[in-house]
Amino acid sequence: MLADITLKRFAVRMRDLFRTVLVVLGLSTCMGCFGSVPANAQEAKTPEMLVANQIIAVRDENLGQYLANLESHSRTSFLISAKHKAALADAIEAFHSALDKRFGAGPSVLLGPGNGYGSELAQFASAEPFGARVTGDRAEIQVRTKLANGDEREDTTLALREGNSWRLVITGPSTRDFPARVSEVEKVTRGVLAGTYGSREDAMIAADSAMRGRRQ
Amino acid sequence: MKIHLPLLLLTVALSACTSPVTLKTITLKPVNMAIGTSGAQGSSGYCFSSGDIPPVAFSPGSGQVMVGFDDYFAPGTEPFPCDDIRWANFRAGVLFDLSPFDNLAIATLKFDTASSVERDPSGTRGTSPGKSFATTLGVGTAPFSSQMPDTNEAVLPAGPAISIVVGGQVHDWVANGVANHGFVIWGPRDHINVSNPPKNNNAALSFFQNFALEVVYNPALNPRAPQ
Repeated sequence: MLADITLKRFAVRMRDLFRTVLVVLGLSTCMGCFGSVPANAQEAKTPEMLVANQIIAVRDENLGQYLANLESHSRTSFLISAKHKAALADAIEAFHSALDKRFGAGPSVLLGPGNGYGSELAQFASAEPFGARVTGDRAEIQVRTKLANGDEREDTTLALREGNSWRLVITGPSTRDFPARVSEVEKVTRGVLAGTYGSREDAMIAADSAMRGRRQ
Repeated sequence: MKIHLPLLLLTVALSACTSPVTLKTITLKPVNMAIGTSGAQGSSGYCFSSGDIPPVAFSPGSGQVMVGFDDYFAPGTEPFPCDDIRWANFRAGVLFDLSPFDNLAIATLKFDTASSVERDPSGTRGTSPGKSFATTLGVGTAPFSSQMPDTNEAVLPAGPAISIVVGGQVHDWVANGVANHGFVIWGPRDHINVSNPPKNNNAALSFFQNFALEVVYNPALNPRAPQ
């Protein structure tokens, strides 16, 4: 999928996708039992079946099943991070709008595969498990993914047995400092509109630093 | 990129053999500009997820293009590290309308480095006028896209003010039937191999503006061009 969209529209698409995740989750998991598994979810009896189920869920864009394949803490983390990312995408969209309003808009930025949330997940539709090491109720599953450009990547994903089903564990860096980053980006945006920054570059550097938190 | 010398000599010779001809010089402005973004983002290591990657905060201003790269890396934690990673390259495409011309003697592409941004472990710095991190000027082989594929590449001179003779490339467009997909400006790095991505938070971005293509031609040989 080749997208021809501006950064602003890209940010909107990201935000909408994150919101879709939140809405689907809100509908597919019962009210008040945040993080539970939908009743009609496909259960995985083996680690390999779990990966296969997840690949099908991604291919079919079945977010309910995708989430059902995650173990409970990961499901909650996924939701929280989706909310955080949506907020950051909103903040950056507002920032770019303020930049264009203050300094003028530039030409289109053309985005390729891998730059949108949907296409990020879509790459896993081509994945296949090629090994699993099971230790009690835990498994390390090796997954090989063929990318659009022909390259291959290999990941080792973790899974836990919950009852009779295997479920994936997400172990990425936490997004708990994202709300603080959002506040900082919003502060920069207000500064842009108030004329605090003398140039587009000064404002972008400030927003970049705010968005990256303590990281460079 | 070279001056198309035979054509220049022919133009002068023809001028000498017939009535005196004054070569005309005009400056063209771009009719289209775009920035192509290539690279990837996601997670790597002990994970099977899309990662939590913040968007890019940089974009070109009015009349500008952006060239360079902007990377992101957030390492996961042991014993099962899952890293968040993004590597993004930005190439610029700049297109001029050469359809009124049939025969050009000299063409020179000129532009300025308005500003630049550089990020490394010591911090983020902006400069204006900027450093030109772009290293290569090519000609597009397809309409503008995220990848901005190019060919017939030449080394770009250092900035901030850049001037490069592009007579041969322009002659291919106006006289040899080569489709004009514009100039492609890129660097300092080429497309990244996904199996060996950069794991850092570095960036090097240049913002270029004031694009102009100065063309010299014989009006008699270009009846559709300004006389």
